[in-house]
Amino acid sequence: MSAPKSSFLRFFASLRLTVVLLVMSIVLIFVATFAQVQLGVWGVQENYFRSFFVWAPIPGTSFDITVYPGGYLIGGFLMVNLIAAHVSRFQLTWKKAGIQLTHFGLIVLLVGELITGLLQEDYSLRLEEGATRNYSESVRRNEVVIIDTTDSEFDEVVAIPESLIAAAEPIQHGKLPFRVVTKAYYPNANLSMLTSLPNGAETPGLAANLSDQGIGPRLGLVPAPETFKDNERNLPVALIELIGPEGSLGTWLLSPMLLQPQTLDYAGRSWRLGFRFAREYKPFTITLLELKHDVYAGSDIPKNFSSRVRVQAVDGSEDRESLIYMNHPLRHQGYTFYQYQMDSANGFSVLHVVHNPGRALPYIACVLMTLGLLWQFSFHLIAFTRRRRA
Amino acid sequence: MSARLPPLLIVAALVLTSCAKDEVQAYRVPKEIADPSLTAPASAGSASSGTSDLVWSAPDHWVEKPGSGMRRSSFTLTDADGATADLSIISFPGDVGGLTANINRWRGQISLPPLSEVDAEATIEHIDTPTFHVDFVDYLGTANDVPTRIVGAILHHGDQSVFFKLMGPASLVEAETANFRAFIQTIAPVTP
Repeated sequence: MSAPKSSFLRFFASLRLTVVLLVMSIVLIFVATFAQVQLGVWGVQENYFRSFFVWAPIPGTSFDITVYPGGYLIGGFLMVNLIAAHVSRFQLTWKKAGIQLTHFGLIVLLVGELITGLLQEDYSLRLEEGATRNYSESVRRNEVVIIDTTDSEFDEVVAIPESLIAAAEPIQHGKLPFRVVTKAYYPNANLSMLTSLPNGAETPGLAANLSDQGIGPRLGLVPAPETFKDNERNLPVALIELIGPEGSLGTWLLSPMLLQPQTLDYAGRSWRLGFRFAREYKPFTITLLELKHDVYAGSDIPKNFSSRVRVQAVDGSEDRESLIYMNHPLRHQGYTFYQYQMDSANGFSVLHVVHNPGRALPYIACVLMTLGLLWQFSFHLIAFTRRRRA
Repeated sequence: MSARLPPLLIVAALVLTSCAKDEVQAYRVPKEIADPSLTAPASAGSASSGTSDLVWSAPDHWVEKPGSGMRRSSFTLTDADGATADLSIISFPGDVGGLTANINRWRGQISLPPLSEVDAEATIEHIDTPTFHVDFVDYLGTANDVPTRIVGAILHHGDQSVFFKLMGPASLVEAETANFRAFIQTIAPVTP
């Protein structure tokens, strides 16, 4: 092994580096726990653990500087440290097998968290009793949709993720006879009817409302700070201009807050515009057959919430029933459906849907580490007992 | 071998990151208006902003019950014969699938067929209260073969859609509709 390679491996395989990284992890967790008061669980996860650096604003300015390594950086170094130690000290002996297995389990745990951080998606699924749905909605992501509603049986949907709307690059899509241009975008905002504001359009604090179509011109737009709290969600507003070959078709104010559908007739077709919670369609449908909200006798204290659902594959290959209740989710095709909320008087149930391709890895990691530690301790215990007997 | 590990990890991270969903998607779905449940979105949580608090003033004979779960509050209305109607007040962040979907959800509860967007719009009375623009509906149907009426009001406040639904025996709801209209006029944001 050459000298640079050897020093590289020594540095990354060193136990000192492990200790430093673990101390840094402890500090990160400690600070993030306090930050949870302001940011909530999601905010802390995004800003502290699922980022390479922790950023903080310079007081009195709008500039952010990095103040501490984030979870991905510390975790990444920890994983390199583990792998390097694994490689440099690897000995295929029964005596060391437990340590190797435990380390390998730890690597699987770190990889699992990386996969979860990058790929896990949370959705909600609200069902009326008797209703069937084949999609759920993202808990955090939103999308602008332009829907061709001309056909009497089908809607042609073009869904533009919020990130592309925020990037404000003009969007030209083969299914749209016009370009979609973001004139303004607010990641979180409140809307009010202008007639309900004390000074109408002259009310202080209103952002420029460039819309000239649909309900937009009747609304006052008040930008709000982004929220990262776990029980809140950002409700964005976008001012979207559609531009055809002959020029502008108008500017619409779109937001998930708006109840009224906004429509447009253009190029001989009917279109509907909206900004909604991002949907994910699934190759199966879920029907809510029955919901139950049991309370303890003589009180309003909830005892049990449960939803009996029917899962049917679109291609007819599967048709089964399942009962979802607290701590008893339905797992189907990589999705986990948890009982989340319920209003039995109005007859609907809300399921929390989680899709996490790495969900099995923490279990596998725990099994590997348990076996590794058992092996290691047993090996030493047996050796110790033999020595005593001798 | 060890020198290759960091680049490999970076490549792995990039591959995983590249799976993020930030592309325009185009797809075809069956029309949604036939089934209100196909458009009703899920709630993201029971509350989403501190700006969503409302106050109202109800007639004395309406018995208020504390909110639970997604209900912000509810009232029980009782007539001389002991029949009761329920006024529920529920809020959700966002548009909750659009006005038509929610109107059709209510219609389904009293065995009325769903309406198309255009037909639904024709049944909506638009009311401007001192503070809000309210979409007001009044439907007569049946529940368990009993004539049942729903009068409802939907308004938008901050980042919330708020649903006021009075549902019960047709005669009782009819007698209380004027009170309900007056009640809607009293809804206002909490002033600090």
